[in-house]
Amino acid sequence: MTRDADEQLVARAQRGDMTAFERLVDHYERKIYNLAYRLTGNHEDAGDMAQEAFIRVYQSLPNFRGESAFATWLFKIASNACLDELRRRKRQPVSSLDEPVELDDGETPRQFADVGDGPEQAVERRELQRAVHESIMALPEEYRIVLVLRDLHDLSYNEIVELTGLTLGTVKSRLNRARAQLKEKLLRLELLPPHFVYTDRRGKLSEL
Amino acid sequence: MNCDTVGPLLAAYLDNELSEAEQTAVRRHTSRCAACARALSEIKYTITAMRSLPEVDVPADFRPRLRQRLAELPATRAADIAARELRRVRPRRTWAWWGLPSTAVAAALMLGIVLFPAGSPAVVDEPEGPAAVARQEGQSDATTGGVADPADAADAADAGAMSGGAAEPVEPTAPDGPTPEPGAEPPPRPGADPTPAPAPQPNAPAPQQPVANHDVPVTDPPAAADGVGGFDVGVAGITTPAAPLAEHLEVVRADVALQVADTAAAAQDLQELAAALEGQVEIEESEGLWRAVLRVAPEHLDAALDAVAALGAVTAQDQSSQDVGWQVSQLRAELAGLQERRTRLVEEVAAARSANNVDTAAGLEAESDALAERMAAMQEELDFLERATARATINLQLAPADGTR
Repeated sequence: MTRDADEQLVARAQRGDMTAFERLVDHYERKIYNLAYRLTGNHEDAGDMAQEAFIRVYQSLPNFRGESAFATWLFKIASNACLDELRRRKRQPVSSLDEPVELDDGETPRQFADVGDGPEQAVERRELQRAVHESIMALPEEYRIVLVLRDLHDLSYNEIVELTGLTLGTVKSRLNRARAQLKEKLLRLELLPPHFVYTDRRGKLSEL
Repeated sequence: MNCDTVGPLLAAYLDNELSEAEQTAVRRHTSRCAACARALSEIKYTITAMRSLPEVDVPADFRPRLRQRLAELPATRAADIAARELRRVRPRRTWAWWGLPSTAVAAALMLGIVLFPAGSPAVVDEPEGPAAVARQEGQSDATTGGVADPADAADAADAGAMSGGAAEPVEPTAPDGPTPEPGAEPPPRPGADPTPAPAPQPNAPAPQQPVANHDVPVTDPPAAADGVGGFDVGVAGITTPAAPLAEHLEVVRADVALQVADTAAAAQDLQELAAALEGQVEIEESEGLWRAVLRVAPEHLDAALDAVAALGAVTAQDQSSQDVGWQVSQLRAELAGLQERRTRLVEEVAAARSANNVDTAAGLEAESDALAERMAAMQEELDFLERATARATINLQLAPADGTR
């Protein structure tokens, strides 16, 4: 949906038009739910947090003046809802974050060129996905949020800056560390292919 | 560049988020350094692995649950909108001019009294025209920001508080925010029990919704009361019959700066003018500048402005009006809904008492009290709006024509 279309719906929702608000939910619920799922790590919390996000958005609509895109504002509220909850849990640990990670049947990978579609590869793919998900969940929240926004939601660095309130330098450094930590975890689990850099005859390094 | 400097740049390099020089430097280094090339490749693979994560489906019960929760929300949204409109309206009516906190001035206006602090800036230094209004709104936009999440709103409220009483206060309106700042803008609380005008039900009554969460912050208003200290609070004289729903209610004000030959004589003329138009006038002299606030029935505004202009040479004039009919009707509807809820709560308290459920009764009672406080604050806003619409206000600056001040 374009920013214009969003703005029109937001304006209508601000005047109390529930249909317009529902259309915004239609458009964003999948993204917000997925964001919450990758930040909290499980479906139960993802559902709760995504609901919380939409409720906060609904209640804050009167304050939304359109200086940032509605999508950015929504993402910000959603990620704040998740971070609030994660931090609250850290102070008062409960079990659900420690439960084993579930991966739904029927999930379809968005892109993974390196992996074929045979049964063995499917198993490998699921194993890798599980490991990646668990590794993301093992990251500190501050790293997890930038990683999820960048690599799963494809936000630009500037959008992440706007959304998190961090400086560009901090976003860069956290993203770098997040990816490096994730990489280390995958290496330890031997989930990265072993040989992928070689030196060609002229001494130049190339990738396989 | 060496390995140590390249390492931290690898992620941004892959996202093409480095400067051109940095991109080139990293590319050059990784084409020669096996360790960094390997690290780069691993990160690239990690990103690919990350992006291979599937999207998950939204559970089927998500929307029904969300709809239900939205329906169960108390009708705070209308109140939020009304509260925001109020905050937008009040500063426009200019209280910054007088250097008083808006709540204090609001109270003063209701009493027909305006206080001129000795240190308040002269109109020539601080013109209250469209530019000043624009400046104020710009400020509020900056503090509210486009991203109104609770934490930001709280920060903005802090910032507003630090920048002085004249700044438009911003309060967090998302009720479940981490730490809403209570009393960012304490609404004055009337002494008497509110008796809201009958009005249609708000759309969603919510018997079981916790009240405290959604309360407009209410704190004691001693500051406002002190702001008009010394004046007889009992003189509040303006009474307005309850306006019908969705009436067109305008808050009208005009600002006029005037040069007169004799300020004292002009002040005298103003007294007579006010009397002739059955209005009120307050006049204060400070450092040679005379200020006056003239209140007349809106239909007499033009006549009053003409008469004022005849007193001398008008050097600046601005007029603004704001329709608050909608806010008033929203507030009334909201209040009626809250009244119903309160009645139910009171019944529940009685029932809990007779059943000897002491804890339950205490809890319900606290809820009921909180509700009453919130209603009182809303009633005060409503009274303020209704009174503000009953009279047009003319703010006057009188300067001697010889320019000596």
